[in-house]
Amino acid sequence: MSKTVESLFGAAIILAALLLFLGGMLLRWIGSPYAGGWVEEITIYLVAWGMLLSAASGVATNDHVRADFFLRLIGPKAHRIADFLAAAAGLLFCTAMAWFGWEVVQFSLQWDERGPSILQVPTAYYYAALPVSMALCGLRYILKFIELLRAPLETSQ
Amino acid sequence: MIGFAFLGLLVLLLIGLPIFAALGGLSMSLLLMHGTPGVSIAQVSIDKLNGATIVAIPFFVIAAQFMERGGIAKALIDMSEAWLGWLRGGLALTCVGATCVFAAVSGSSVATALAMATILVPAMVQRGYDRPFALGVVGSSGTLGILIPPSIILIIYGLIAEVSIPRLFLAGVVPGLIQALLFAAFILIYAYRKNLPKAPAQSVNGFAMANLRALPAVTIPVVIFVGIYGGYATIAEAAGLAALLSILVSLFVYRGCTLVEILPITAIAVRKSAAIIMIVLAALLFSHWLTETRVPVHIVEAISEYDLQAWQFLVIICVIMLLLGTVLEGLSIVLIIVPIVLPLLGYFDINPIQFAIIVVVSIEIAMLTPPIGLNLFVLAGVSKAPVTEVIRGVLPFLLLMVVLLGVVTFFPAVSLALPDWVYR
Repeated sequence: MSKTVESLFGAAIILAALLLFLGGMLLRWIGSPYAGGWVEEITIYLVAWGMLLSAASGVATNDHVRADFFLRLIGPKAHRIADFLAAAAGLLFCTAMAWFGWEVVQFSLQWDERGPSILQVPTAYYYAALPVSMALCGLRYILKFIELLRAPLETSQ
Repeated sequence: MIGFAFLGLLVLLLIGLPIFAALGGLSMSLLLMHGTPGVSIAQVSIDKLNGATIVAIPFFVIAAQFMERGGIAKALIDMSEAWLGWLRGGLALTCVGATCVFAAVSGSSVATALAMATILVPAMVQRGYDRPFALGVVGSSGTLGILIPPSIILIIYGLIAEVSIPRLFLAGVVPGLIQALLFAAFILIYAYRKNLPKAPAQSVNGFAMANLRALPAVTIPVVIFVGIYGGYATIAEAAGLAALLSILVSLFVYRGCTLVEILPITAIAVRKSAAIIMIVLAALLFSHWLTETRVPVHIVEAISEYDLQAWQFLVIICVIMLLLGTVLEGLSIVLIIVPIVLPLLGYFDINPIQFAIIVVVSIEIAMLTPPIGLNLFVLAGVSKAPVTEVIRGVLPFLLLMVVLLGVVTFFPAVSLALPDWVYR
């Protein structure tokens, strides 16, 4: 079972998105005046937030897909070096994406960009999912580093 | 440049970096070197998530997760056994039949194999089937999850190739049925040669009860297909309905999970979806770099010098995908190969829908080929059998799938006839 905070929080957001989306579909079928593009817009925002938050959890639980066949062939010392390099590369990518993502949010706020539906939600709220997720992923990679530094050589696999 | 890009990707993958970070990091570096501002790279990534089709992915994965956990698989197996159990090797045929129905909701190969393996492998071994054969049947039938619609791989292909997803779904139906029939024929021959047991035919009452109990589970794929092809629901809405129905059926009909378990089970599904979406985002960045630098145009120019026929080109691509399948996970192959190959399809006059099915069958094979084949490890994990035993079991089925790959490659009508007929 998944117990990380990001993962449970992400699941709660996605369940809310599911209910909203199906509610919107029902409104459309019965021809309600409240049906419209706002449901789809908010659902997409919630789903993006839910999945991007859970992505950080995937770093912690090693759920992200990786090709580990080479790692199974090498000794513990080389494995440990590869783990450090992978964590460093992951941290570098996530930090860069968090930084560039934050710039997107700032631009969106400066230009007061808003969503297409009647709700006129600032798109910065949606864009913020990327830097927040990448910052959390980066944080998980830092924790991995600490874990690797503390782990004795034979248990690093 | 593309050679260096692939070398870089290979090094990052070898050190065990998750594919999303390896492909994303590489694409980001290539785009920055090309002069694309960092802010545009992030903007491209987040904008790609802003579409209704993306919503379908977590919803279908939630449906698959609840089907796997919520007792739905057991009901489908019982129904399938009522129909096929009386034949020699009936339990193996039951697996193929139940998998076809399960796949019509799940969209995931691993979820399908996992759900079937937990129940059917011990049952088959108990009734005197060879364990490698039992593992082979379950593992290879599980791959139907991505061919029989709905299929997450086909949704992702549709997103990248900008091809109609309902058409892609229809294109998977006939090849999926051919695969199931090929497996069934092999199982029957094997069963008669090895004198495998058959269950006594069920009473009318037992037959009716098994079908009645499976009715709520069978209703889910019906709702999905009537919803999409009746014009009542979009792909994302059908996925939402599948997720909701799977939760309700698991909770109230089969009682395979409790109310308290909904959040943790959803969390597992969302984490799996997140893993998929992160690779999709990275691949879309890679695709963006390919477009910006006009790499596919250069490849078309280079290939045109060799005067290749369409079938020769397809055979080369199949071989590349099968080779990649031995070291990379299926989804990653789609996301790396499709953006590069897609612009070449027009040059060779190959229909992108037919190509999607070729890709999916190649991935099915990849899921069963060592050392990476995901289904092999899922089965080894569930049954506590050595991976070598699973490999021995899937081998004959693997050969049948290579035959299927040949069929979908050389006979486009196998994939295209149904979507062309429905959308005529």
